[in-house]
Amino acid sequence: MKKQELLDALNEALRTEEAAISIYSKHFEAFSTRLDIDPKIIEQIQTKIAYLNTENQKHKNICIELIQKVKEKNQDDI
Amino acid sequence: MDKRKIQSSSFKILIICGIFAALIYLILRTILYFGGDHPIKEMILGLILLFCEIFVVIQGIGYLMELFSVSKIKNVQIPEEVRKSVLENPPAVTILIPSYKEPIEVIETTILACYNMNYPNKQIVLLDDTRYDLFENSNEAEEYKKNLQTICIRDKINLFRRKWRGAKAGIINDYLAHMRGESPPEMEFERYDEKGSSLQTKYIAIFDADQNPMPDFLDELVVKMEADPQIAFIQTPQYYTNFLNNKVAYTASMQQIIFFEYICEGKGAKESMFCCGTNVLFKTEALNDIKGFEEDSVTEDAATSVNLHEKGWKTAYDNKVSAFGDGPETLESYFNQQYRWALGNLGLFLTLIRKFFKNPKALSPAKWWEYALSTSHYLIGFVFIVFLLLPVIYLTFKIPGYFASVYIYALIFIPYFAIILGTFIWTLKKRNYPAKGLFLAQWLMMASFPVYIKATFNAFLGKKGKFITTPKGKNINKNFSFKMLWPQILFSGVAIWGLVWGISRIYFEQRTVGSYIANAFWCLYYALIILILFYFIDPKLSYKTPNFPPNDDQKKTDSTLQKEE
Repeated sequence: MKKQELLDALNEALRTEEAAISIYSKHFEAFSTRLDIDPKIIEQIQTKIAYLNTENQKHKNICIELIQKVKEKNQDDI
Repeated sequence: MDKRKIQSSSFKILIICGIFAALIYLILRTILYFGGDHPIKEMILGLILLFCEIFVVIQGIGYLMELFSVSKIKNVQIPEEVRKSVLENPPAVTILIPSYKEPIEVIETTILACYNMNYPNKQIVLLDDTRYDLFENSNEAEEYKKNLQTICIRDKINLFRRKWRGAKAGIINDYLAHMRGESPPEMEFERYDEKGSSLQTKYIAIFDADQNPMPDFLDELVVKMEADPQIAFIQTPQYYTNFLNNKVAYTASMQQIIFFEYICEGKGAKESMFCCGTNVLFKTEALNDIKGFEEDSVTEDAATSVNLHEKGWKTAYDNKVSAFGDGPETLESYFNQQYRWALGNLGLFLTLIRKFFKNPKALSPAKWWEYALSTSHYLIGFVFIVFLLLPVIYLTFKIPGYFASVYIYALIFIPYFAIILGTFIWTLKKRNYPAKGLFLAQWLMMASFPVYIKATFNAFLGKKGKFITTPKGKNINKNFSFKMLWPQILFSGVAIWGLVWGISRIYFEQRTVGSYIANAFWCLYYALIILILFYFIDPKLSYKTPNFPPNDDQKKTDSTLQKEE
């Protein structure tokens, strides 16, 4: 794989997948709060969403680091 | 959503009881009206009240019948070979995002959500319907245009523009024409998606610019469409999620729930579902068969559905929330949205009446019934005014419109009202929606009566109205003006006037106290309903996103991940 191809793929992943998670979790969080169900279940849902957001942020950071590393590589074939 | 929850025999019995209670109430009310000998002015008032009650009871029966249809829904098994065929050779889908001067960040989010859909054979087209000729600042117009283009290039989304006409329906029809190889005037089609080889696709999905579909939106819908070639479209629910910090959006979202949970599911069961304009998958052939969307209505979606039903196409509803969006955030934008829906639906109601007398066989009786129920719903504005004024007239001038003693009234009204209200609350509670929200939704709708009355007049006068999108983001006008609420303030004053008269009559006259109490109660009730609008003037709600600590399982996963890193 060429360096630029990999960089494009990583940048696209960063822009689409990582950004999308926060959109979905915003909707799910709102969805869960409106339900008239056991507050414990709502809390569980929200805990999972908060966890997903944290994980997403970590993944995003890893992706940014990876992009930086690939950029710093001198070779074109990766 | 567990449909079995409302499929028990006891539920069906409850619905049947509700329908009987409503019919008995109606019969007794009619007997009471015609049974007595009253002066002409009382007869006229009584007749107006009776008509209004008939309207409300019919709407109530309609709702119960939708519930009954839902209780009979059986899961349809889709043949495995259909699934396999879609998996191996997915038919092409064009995703259309019509947009009229929507904030860039709103469009970006929607494009991103569409881009992330799992479905492999799709192409996305942004239909830019913005009136650049109406921008006050030409630099601003150019900048907006350029921003849209930049997003489309970056996300590999096709961009379609043409000479403005016909609003949302117009631009979709122009794109359909473009798909057929025609060129609408001043058409610009910028193709940035290199994957989609052909413009002609079997299906078209439509999303408003503020709707975010989930990644699996198309997967099951395409399978369902492929399983039944007679289906013209499958509608899915609209679900507002911008309500955490906003009272108006919260209440509007509860109104959506009432409609999309049972009413639409019931309509879907009878193949009478009408299109709601967004979050919908169309068969291109069906749209071409009726020459595209109806452009003469501000609710082009419902009008188009009538044309499809007339041509013998089936329509369906899939009660799975697969797209989320934003609802109105201020009273002003809520009223604008309601006005547009009311005007469009009442206009369609009148068209349907004419159509019915011309050709009663154009639609099946079930479809006539469904359309009549839905499109006439917005007459509720007039009904509200009558219900408010009658007790005031009685308490002020002692002119009755309800010809019965308070005891007979209680005997026939309370059982009917209790069953209908109980069923309504109970069924929605079954699907985990809070009663408080449902009441707020109903009250806000009733307090919007001037909007519906204005729409009724304009619909009868044949005014078409303008298609105005609900403002979002920076476009929201946050300056509230009390002028907007003058009819509500006036009529709440009238109701309070009636209440004061009622209390003074109870105190001074000490005769027929029961009927004074009942009428004063209704004055108080309607005054409170109108005054609830003041709750929405400042629509902000305080909600803080909770920051929960991860549980034990998650901590373990966390540490494992860190080790791996």
